[in-house]
Amino acid sequence: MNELKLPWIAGLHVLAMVLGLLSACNIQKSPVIKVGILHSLTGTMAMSEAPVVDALTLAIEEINESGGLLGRQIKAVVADGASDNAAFAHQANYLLKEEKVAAIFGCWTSISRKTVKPIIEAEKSLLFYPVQYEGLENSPNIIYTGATPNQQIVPAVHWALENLGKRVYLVGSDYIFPRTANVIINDLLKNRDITSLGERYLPLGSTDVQAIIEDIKRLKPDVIFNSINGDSNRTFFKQLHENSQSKVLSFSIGETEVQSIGADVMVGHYAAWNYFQSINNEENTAFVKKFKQRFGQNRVISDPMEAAYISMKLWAQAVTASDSIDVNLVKSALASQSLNAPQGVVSVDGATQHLWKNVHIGQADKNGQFKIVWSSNHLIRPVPFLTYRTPLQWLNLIKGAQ
Amino acid sequence: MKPLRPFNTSALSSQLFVWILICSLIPTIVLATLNLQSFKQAFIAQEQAALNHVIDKKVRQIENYMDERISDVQFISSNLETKLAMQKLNKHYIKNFNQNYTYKKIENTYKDYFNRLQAHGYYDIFLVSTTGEIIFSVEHESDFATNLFTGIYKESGLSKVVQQAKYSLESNSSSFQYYEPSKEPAAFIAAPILEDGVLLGIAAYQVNAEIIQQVLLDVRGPMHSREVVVGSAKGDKYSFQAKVRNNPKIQVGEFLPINKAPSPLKKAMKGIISNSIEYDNRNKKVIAATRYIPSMQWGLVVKEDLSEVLMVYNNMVSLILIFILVVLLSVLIIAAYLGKKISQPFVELVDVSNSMAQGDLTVKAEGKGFEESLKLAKSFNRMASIINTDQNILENIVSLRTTELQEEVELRKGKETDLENSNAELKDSISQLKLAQDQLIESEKMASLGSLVAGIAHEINTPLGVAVTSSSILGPSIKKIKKSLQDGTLTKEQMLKFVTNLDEAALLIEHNLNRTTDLVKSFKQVAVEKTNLHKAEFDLNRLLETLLISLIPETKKYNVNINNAIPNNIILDSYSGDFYQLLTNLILNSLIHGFGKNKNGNLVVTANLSDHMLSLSIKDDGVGMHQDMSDRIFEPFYTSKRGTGGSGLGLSIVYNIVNTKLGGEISVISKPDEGAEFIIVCPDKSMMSE
Repeated sequence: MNELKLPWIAGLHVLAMVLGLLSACNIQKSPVIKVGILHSLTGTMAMSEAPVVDALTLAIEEINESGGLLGRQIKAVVADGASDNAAFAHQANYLLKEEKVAAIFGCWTSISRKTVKPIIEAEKSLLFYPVQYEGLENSPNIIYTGATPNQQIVPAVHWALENLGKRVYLVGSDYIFPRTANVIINDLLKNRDITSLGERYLPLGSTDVQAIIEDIKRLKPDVIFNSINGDSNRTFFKQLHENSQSKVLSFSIGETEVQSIGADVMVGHYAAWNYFQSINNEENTAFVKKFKQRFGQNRVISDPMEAAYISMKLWAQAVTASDSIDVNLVKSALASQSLNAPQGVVSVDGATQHLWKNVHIGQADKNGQFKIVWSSNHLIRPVPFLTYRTPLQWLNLIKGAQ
Repeated sequence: MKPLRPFNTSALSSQLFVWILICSLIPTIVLATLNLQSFKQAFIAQEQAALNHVIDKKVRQIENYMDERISDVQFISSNLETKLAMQKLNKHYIKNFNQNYTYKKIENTYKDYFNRLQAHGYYDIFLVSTTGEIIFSVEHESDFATNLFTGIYKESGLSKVVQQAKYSLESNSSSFQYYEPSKEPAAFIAAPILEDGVLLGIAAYQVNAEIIQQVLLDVRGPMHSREVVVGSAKGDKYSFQAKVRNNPKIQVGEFLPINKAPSPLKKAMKGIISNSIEYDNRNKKVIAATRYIPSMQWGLVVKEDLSEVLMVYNNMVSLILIFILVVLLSVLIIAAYLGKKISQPFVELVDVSNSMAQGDLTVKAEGKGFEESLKLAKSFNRMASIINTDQNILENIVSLRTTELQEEVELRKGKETDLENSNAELKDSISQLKLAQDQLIESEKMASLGSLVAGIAHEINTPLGVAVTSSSILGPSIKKIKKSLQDGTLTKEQMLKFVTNLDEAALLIEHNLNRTTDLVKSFKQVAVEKTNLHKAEFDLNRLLETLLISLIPETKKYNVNINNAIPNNIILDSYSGDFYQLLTNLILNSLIHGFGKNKNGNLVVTANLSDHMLSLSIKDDGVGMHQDMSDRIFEPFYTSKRGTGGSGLGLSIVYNIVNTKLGGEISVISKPDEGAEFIIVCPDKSMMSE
């Protein structure tokens, strides 16, 4: 059979060479894709912001495990904003100019975002901002994955007025988000011919809650709309727990904060979010399980953490869709992205670069989790500038608040 | 016929078949497979890109349409006319009653305005109070004047959008859902009517289902199976939002369990963006692209049957299969034909050569077929005739050669006998030579004995001469004395002189005769010993001592001091004659060749006995010799003194004695001008039997 062997062997060789060539064409050099993570790991905001870094890390690890992006691995460059504006500015510049990251995922307080905004715009890069905020902003270089007021504050206030009572007291940290939130809340109250019993602000990081507690003890409001940020909440809730029966509806208290403040003093109070860890669906169950396996069984997940997780996933989808990390291409691909997120379907609104989201109201239980008492059951269009005022009116109105 | 053996001897046509098949089919199949595979991938990728394009366009169309509708609603809600209508109608609206005159009057005032708005493509327009009452409707269907928050339509899409507008103060839209008052699926858009931030009411549109269905289902394009499927999920249920082409029974807006939804639609409704090959609701393989439209909460699928996409590809596959079949058949036919044609002349030649093999050399091959086969047949025929001619010649030559060969064989046989004879002669000469050698050695021994006798004679001659001289002197002296005595002239003095002389002569004679006796005694002993062929015990020192005395006639010719350094106690049980012989030969050899007549020097003989092995050394400080000489020194007839008396057998004899008789070994150590040392090593008892 010698005559037969030769052509077969030759044929196999040719085939092997062809296959070898084909596979050689597919082998590319694959340097990592760097992304910046910019959150406060120290200072008063670290309590809320540090866990967001973990959520981003999980998303990056998942993407890398499933083959990375464009055949490359993602590498996170984590920078500490240190709850300080100068630090945020410095780190944003460092990430963009030195590390040349493809995008930054970061910021929590509106002040930090507004500090980073001109830098990211000057560099024509992308910032993914994961926290609910006051709206009134529409930067072409920021993707907002947290809620706009109409996706959180507005429905929550209506719900509270109809379900908790109409005697209302407002507290907040003294910066732009709480101030704007309360402008909106006052609009909504006015719409129902209600006037708030009082309104007080605390400097960020302050524990001087005495005046507020005195007010509440005296006024006994049905509901307190709380937009205090950071660890001032610890003192506030502890004191409140000892001195008052009033229910609090918070806009910046998630599972992370409850764990830090202490579930015992939080029981029965409310929060409005697009995501609660207790949301019951397949995706969320898997997400919570993965997060706990990775970072510890006692860890909890809050709305901004999920929003950050979503932001990384959306960015990855857009990079894949545009087959590039070029900011313009990624941005244009982002406009038509949607995702089966832990909170349910989310979809990018191309016009505003915010997300269509559901909103829920949850009541804290003794385990530090929220029991969902109301849901929108409907994706809500993001409206950064509530339409009952024109954008110009809004900007003029909040000039004072800034 | 012989049975067919494996391939390499199988029939020509089957070989041709296999080879042509390999040459034509393998590249065809390899190339076709590779090409088809990449074609298939390219087809699918191209179609996926086309689908992405279509679905993105569809999404944009729907979003644009809905955005326009929403801006319409926002325009209506912010329009002063609407605000006034809202305020006025709200004021005069009475629940669950045929509306009063004032209401109807106001309604009529605004009817034109709202009719104009409705003409923009809306099914109905509503005004809803902040408490949820539908206080105005263009169509006045059964929903009019009901409460959307508490009434029978509180689960409707209209209720949802109105509530959301109220709570979020923003416009929003619903998906299609069966709407009882209109008896058909309906979607709604609502916007709050605000005055200085205060909610007056909500304006709502019922979207014209026909228009959006047209937008949705328009899938003009080359693919007949291309289809748009739209679904909307609500909890664990979902509904189709547009007619399903291949299943007219499905109602738009009718709720179905979500786990029964086709896989692409399920993905789309979950917000997953994908483009892949899946099974649709007919359980057919499709390429499906999925998108999500948040404003309508729609999952959108644009799909095409994979079979249609791959139609061209499948055609190509069957074409290639047919092609391969045709190639196979034609190869078979061509191979069979060619095989037969090519093998024809071979078959003929086989027949012809078979005939020839049987002895018939006259048959001729025809070689029909090709030019080559004709040539082959011609040369075959020529070869056959040449063979025929040559065969006769050959036969003659062969018989001639056979005779010659036979003769030669005889001759060779004779030569062989001669050779055998001369061989025997040679053997004889060798044994004669050996005999001659032995005789020579024997005569050499005799010669040395001869020279010894000559030496003895010479040695004895001297004292005898002295004695003879002395006695000859005595004769005349005695005669003289006798005469004097007879004459009487003898004087006392004369007598005294005579007596003195006589005394002296007698003394001299005695002395010399004594010496002669000694010599003879010693020679006798040596001679006896030297020829002693019996094994006996003897002292080696004493043996050498006697030997040296007997050698004096030779040794005194040389100025060499010979030192017997053999210890006293070496007693050997061996052949003393052989030791005499070999020591004599070695000592004389050393004197003759190592020193010559003119050279002074020393010769030392030492011996050492340990462990029954004797080591005997004869060492001189003479001229020594070169390596090549010492290598050959024990060979018989090797001598440096041929012509001057050396026979060349002395050392050869020594070598024979040591090796054969004493069972030992002899070696020589020497360098030019550094003397020579012969060392004999042998057992102290000879093993030779007598």
